[in-house]
Amino acid sequence: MATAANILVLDDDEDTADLFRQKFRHQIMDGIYKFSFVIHPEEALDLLQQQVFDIFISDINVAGTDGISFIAKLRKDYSFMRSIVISAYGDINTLRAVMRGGAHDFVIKPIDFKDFGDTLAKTVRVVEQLRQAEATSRKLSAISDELGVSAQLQRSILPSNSLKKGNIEIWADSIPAAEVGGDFYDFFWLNNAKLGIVMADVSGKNVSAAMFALIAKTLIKSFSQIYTSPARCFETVNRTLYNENATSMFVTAIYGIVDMEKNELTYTNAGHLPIAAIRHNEDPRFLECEAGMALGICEDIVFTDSVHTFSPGEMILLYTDGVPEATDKNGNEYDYERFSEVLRQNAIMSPNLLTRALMESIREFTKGMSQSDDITTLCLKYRLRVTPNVN
Amino acid sequence: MEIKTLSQDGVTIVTPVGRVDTSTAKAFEDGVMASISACNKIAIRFDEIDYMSSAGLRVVLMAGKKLSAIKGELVLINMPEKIFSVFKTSGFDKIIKICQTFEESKQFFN
Repeated sequence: MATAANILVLDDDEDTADLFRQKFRHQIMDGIYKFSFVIHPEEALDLLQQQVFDIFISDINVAGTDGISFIAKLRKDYSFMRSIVISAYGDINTLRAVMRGGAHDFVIKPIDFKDFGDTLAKTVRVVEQLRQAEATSRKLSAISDELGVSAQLQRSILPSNSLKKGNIEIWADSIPAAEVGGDFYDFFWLNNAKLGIVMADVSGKNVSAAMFALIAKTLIKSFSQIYTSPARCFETVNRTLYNENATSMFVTAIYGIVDMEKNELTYTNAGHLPIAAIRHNEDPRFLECEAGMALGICEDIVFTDSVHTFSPGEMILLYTDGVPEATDKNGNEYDYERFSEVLRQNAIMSPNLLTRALMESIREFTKGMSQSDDITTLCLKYRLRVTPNVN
Repeated sequence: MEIKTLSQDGVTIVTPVGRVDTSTAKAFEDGVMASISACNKIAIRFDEIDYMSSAGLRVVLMAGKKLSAIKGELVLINMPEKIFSVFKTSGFDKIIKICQTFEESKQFFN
């Protein structure tokens, strides 16, 4: 132990203190042992309240007729302290009872200090190991707390995956192919009636891609507060990313603003796959728009806003290339035909159920293959508000 | 994935074969960069690729930047419709020259 083993001795024989001090004088001088001596059990309890002891040594008789339960109580209350019992008699039954009650070891009077010294040293080592084990486990739990925090941080790159407010219902999902993915989605309120939605895919799948994703996500959200046009927002995000980008990374992205007063989606596309619009009894449409270049490649890119008007109960789905490009064991891609079919079949479902059906269909298709790209989706259902009929 | 290189009329034609995705992009990058260090006129031929993800796009982008920095030239040739759509979606067709054939690309190398 780095510090002296702290030992409490309870004995009504006052000579015991002198004897211990004499026999263990080297250990005391060398700072290996530190002794405290008490005569009454009450004193022992008082001192135990004030200090942390490693070893408790007691004459079985001093502890009273209730010596066994006294030792047992100490064992329970001070889980790292170990007790050594001194018995004047070789009463095997009493010794067995006190050992069962929680004493760590015992010595017989008259004390053979050679044997006692060994017993004490051994017990100190046990306590030391117990404390080390405890410190290690505390460290481990601190580390696992920290890991929990970083997992939480990672999750915070993606917002909560669902939202239900007014006429809008959202369900998002992301299945990364590796530990760190380059896909991200986002949604955030711009005011009471306008919700921003983002879907993006960063080239590459490593920590720097994840960092780039985080920067892109933060920039989009920040500039969305300044520009009411998604296209103007992306132009600024693009310029900023370009200036920060030494490694030719880029991000394809869609940013849209859902306007609940106009029942419209205004969106712009930076090299990303088109938004799917899903209506009941119709084939899904992939919304055409003036596609700008992926963000971060060229300094001055002009983006264009497109507008889509929601029909009642319509859903839109934003996704990354992990969906159409999921590959089966024969090298076939999931492709838009299967994709469209699942969307058509689930057009009247909730965003949650549609997403589940899509993921299940991809999982079934790619059975036996390891996932090669992140699969990320964001589905939004738009219910038109019914104006109350005031007569 | 395998990468074939061929020198023709002072141009190095780099032909990746198979899939270019996250797991093979590094090999593609190394192959293209090695060719660039030996020659500043590069044509990348795409008709032997089954699939290319955005990781492959990044390699093409890096090659384009590297070559323009050393006053070289990059032209993409023999690109199947499917791969062209990846370039078109991401807007890369606006910044990188894409030709039907090697013959057609020669105008840019002279």
